[in-house]
Amino acid sequence: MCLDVLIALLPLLLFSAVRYGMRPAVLVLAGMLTAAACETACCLMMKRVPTVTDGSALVTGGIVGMLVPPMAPYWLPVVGAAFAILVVKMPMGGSGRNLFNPAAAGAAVLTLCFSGTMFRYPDPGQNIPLPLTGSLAQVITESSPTAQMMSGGETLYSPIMLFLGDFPGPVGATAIAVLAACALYLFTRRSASPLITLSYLAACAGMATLFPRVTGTGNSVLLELCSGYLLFAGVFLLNDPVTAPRHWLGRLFYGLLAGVLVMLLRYYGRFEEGACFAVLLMNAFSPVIDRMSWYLLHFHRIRKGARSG
Amino acid sequence: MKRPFVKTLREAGDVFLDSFLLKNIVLVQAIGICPIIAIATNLKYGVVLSVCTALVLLPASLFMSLCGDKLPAWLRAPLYTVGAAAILLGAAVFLDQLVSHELYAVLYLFIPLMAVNTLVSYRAGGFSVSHEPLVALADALASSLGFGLVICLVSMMREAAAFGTLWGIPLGLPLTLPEAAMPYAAFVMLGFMAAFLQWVKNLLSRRAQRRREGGAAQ
Repeated sequence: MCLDVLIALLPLLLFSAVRYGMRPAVLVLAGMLTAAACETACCLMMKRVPTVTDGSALVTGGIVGMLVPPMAPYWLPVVGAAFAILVVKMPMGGSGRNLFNPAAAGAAVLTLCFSGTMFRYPDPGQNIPLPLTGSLAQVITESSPTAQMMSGGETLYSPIMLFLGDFPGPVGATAIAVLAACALYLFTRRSASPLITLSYLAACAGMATLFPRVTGTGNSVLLELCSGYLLFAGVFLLNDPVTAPRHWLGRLFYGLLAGVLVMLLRYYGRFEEGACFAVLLMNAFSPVIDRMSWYLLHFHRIRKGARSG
Repeated sequence: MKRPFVKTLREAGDVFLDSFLLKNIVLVQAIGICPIIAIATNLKYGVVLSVCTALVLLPASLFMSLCGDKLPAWLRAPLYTVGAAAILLGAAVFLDQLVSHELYAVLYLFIPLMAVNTLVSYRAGGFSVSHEPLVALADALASSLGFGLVICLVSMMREAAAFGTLWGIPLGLPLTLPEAAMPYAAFVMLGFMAAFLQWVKNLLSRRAQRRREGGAAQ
């Protein structure tokens, strides 16, 4: 399952490397190595057999690396991945026992602490490749579509540009066409649940239709769905097998609520993109949602049993 | 029938140890977290808030244990809340006029909020009503001490990490993390402290069990 996710991350990374040079690859590798090292250290401290081989730490570090901007300093994914493993994952009991998605928590901490660095994106058309070492002061930056929508201005991005990922954004979350292909791969391998992702996207689209931030309904839906890391969160963060609900009805609710939350965070939040906060909030409710959907489906049987007994 | 005094004293001792550490009001019972998360970013604030808690909790617990069971249940909560508010009003005026106006300017919102804190309603309105005055007093003292211990520890760590100072005195640390003053950092600290307390308790209970088994073998 983790291997599938790693395979799905690879084309996104390749796309980013073609666009920005080797810097994104180094960022993602830094995240992965940190996560693996932290997990090994924790396992040794808890006198357990190291669980790096199951790949979940690599996925966590990789996703954190994918969510930082391409011109981020190298310590940024290192801090995020270390927080994800040392604070969110291992104290809860390690793989399979974490209450919250570690990668989403790592991204959330980076957003809260280093929001200036986290949302400074380079203009994809102008600086190829990004310098690997040394100063990034000459890199031309551009405000992302989410930032433009947040400040109330019209965006300059056409639908085809959005679809091809030709807009400023995080390392691995801008290539919408590649992301869609990765999602399809994960669905066919049963590593991701289409129910969660599709209900999430439907809720986001519904919110964007009802409360558009740009003129033109079709435009608004497309812009909201493609910008930021909304789609990436729907495919990779929400579908974490440990923290998502197990029940099909619960998954439906989970996706819908997460979609509404993401859009609310975009409309009223402090940051231009709050998908990681929405994922964390939904993770907290995931066991309740599971139990509630079970009760909803078995309600008549429970009442009948109560009456006869 | 009246209980012998020694028995009451022993119960008070047990309750004290329980409320102070083993069932720490913040770390185990998860009561009174709000002021720690919101305001404990400086050791001074932590000390003021823990003194205020003790000022409110001790009289409220004593009062409720003396005549709580004679009052109807609907009257208890308004009584101790109004009493606590009156005490806190005095404390706030004292802090503003005689101690430091700057401190009051930061804490003016959080001192009155202590009157409706679950800490007071749970210990004074719940535990004290059904216990003797001495036991209730021991519980109130231990609860305030436990709360004070946690809030002072958290505010010390946050002050040192976020501003590089302790009680306003610079420590000369090479690195400060302003993010430690954010609410989520306090949640993370409380989580780790609760886990540490659980670890200590597990260690103690395992040792006690080993001693019991050793005694049985002899």
